Amino acid sequence: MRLTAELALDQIRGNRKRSAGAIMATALSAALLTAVMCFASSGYRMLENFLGPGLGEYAGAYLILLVIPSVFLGLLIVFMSITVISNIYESSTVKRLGEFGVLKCVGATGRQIRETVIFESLWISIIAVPLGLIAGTVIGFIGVEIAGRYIAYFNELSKSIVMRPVSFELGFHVTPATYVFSAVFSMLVVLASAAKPAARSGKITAIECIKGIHLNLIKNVKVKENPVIEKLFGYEGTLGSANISRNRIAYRSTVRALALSIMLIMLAGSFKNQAHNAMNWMSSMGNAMLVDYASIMDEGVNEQTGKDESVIVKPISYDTAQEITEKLRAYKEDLDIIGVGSDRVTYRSIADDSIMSSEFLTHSGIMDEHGEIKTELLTADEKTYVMLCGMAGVPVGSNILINYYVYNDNGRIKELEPFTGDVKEIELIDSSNVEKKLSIDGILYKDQLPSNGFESLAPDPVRIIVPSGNMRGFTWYSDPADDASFTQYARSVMDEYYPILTEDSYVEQGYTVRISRADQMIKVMNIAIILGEIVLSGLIIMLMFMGFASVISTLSANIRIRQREFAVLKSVGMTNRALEKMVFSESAICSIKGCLGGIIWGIVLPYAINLSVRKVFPVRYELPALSLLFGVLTVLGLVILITRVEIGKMRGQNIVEDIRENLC
Amino acid sequence: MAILEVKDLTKKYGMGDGEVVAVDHISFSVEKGEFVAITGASGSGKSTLMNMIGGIDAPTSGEVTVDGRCISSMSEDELAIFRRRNLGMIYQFYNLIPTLTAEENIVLPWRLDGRKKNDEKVKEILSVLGLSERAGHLPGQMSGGQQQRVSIGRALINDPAFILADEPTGNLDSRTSGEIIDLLKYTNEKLGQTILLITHDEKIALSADRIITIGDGRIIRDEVMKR
Repeated sequence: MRLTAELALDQIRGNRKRSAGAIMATALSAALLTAVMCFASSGYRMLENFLGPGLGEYAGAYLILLVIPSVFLGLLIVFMSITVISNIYESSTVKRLGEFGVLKCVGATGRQIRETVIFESLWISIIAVPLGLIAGTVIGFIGVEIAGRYIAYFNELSKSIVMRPVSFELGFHVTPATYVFSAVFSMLVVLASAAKPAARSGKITAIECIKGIHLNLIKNVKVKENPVIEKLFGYEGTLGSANISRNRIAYRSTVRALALSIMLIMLAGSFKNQAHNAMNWMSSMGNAMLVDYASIMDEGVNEQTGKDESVIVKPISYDTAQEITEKLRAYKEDLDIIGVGSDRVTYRSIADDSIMSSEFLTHSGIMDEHGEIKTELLTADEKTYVMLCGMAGVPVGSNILINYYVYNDNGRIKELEPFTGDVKEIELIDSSNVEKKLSIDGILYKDQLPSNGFESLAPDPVRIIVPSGNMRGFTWYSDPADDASFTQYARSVMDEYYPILTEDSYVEQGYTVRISRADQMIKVMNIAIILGEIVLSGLIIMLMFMGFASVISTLSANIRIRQREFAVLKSVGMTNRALEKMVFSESAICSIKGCLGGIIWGIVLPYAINLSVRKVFPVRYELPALSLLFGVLTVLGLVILITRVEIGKMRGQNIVEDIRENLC
Repeated sequence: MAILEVKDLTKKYGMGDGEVVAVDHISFSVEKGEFVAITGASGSGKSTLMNMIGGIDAPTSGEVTVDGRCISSMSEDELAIFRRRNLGMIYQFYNLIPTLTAEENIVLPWRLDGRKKNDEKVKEILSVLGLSERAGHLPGQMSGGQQQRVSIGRALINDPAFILADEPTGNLDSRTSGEIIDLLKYTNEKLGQTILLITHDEKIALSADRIITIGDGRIIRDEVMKR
């Protein structure tokens, strides 16, 4: 065995506590990477089972869906792991300066010194990486099992809504590649973590080691007495403050680990807040019982105009919709049913400055590249339509414009009236550029609309209620007392018109029928958010543990490494109580610095993520005050606990022995 | 008047067959203003004796009385307070706090005692020690001799009852050693400072007024030098 490898092995054997810390951190890093890989390979298998080998036509898109979160989480883990593990090697090299000095004096080259540090990391990896692979498999298995249950729940829920089996099945699946990739990546993380301390150690000269390199790391910065610190901790606080200001490198690791821990707690809090706000927004449409018919669309591009074109494969006619409405109403005499049909794909409106409000025209993103605006044509069952005509003060047979638009303005829900009050006509255009003028006979405003059927999470800016027409979909809203009985009844009604002929795919039939309460449908939509929240929170908690491990290791190493200094202070008259005050003041200053850094990053990072989230959901960044408080208290509690434990250990130490120790 | 009285002081390490007697029933006293050298071969018990006199190590038996106060029965914190008010310690390896400047190291016992800074006194000490230009330097930015001067300054700052110097020249070259001893003699002669110097170097011991020689933990010779 090479001498440098032997020296590294001796180092590991001789410093069991530190080695155990390095093994734990490395194993945790490898475990997290393995867990992510388990998720990725299980997810791939799930998609393959659903879409067929090679993931079918849209393999690229699905792979991106799988790869992007895996890479994001992987990078987060790698960053955290390198920070934590390099802290351990940095404190290890500081502790071994004397040894490096001796090695240099007897002729070791810088390369050989570097090798001892690198070999130390490789020895650690040999033990830690297999442990990490095993632990990661267990974590991955538990995670996939939990996610699998949610997906099974999603399947059940979907099945109850669409009456077809949904064959998404997430089972735990790993391949040799999962482990090879995790192991190689973990080794690279460890090598990257040890590289900087190794490079620094290699550069140290023999004389620096003999003199004590820590002296060279101390910078002579002017330290002003801080009245607050002086008031809180007395002169001992000033001493602590001078230590931290002049020996920043020694405290940098602790401050960084503290900051990362707080940042992760705040990140988890922000994810939770944003996910909940998004789900609340989706649940804001009420909880009516929905009987919903939707035709599939044949999407393509119009060859003549080059415009996107969607053809409704099986539109529902007004007469059919009316018949179904009557049959559904027959369920119970007093059951109020509102039926609303919708077609959002056939027409667009040509923008006309003279009839559109200035607020609407200045709203960005309203018009497409052809100067056209998304338009939804709506129909309603006869009774509802008559009622709407009455509200608008127009005769039956009229076209009614809904002058109300709600939209997501970069995370905020905004409402506006798109048109001026005197709209008489709107010009519609289809994908073939055939224009059609539609007279507007009346206008309905927000307060005049019924609560069901005319509200939408993301409505089109132009919505016109027409007396009749073929629609892409039709939804009947009601609130029956007995959901199960009504569902059964409604299913029988819908089966008359739109029977479910195949269990495999609604694509072949050209339509889908869903019967469910709105909240059940929302749950299906929310399942991805919930899953994402669970997986992310789980990983963040794991990373937080790594951060805590780093805080514990660096803080206790910082105190232990200074035993001689503490003994000197005692020998010149510092009492135990004064020494405790000094160490506590240092811990407090580190905590404040860590908290400040962590809070800043804990705000900046989720805020940056929210900038993308708010494009999709009307969810703004909110300061996760509770997480912040929890983070600060947890970190402070941890720091106080470690400091107390280390001070307790110091009490029994002999000053004489400590003063004689570590002399270069 | 005796500023230091050591009575029947004993220090034993280990038990049974492994018992080692480092200091064996030593008794002596030092008068105010005396410059006493304690000398002996390596392992003779000099440093153990100094640590007990300085109150940083507890004797197995016997008593140490400094300026009329018995320190052997004091608690650890009482001893710490006693040290910063009554003793000045100088070590072979300087034992300065690496993150404090020369001036901050010198005033350390003073500040630990809650006293306000006396700039004039600090200036005077820095000047006597030849460190005026180095007041703002960290230990890592100074030579060994300069660091040892700082530790002398730290020992002097509280006008202690006596200074305990444990091999103060052991880590220095002969020229610098001479400067340090001259400095200690200066404080003894001009400032009336009592000094207890521990050294294995006979030449350096000869600088003192009185030499106590220790061997195997006992006083084997106690002689007053005639000038």
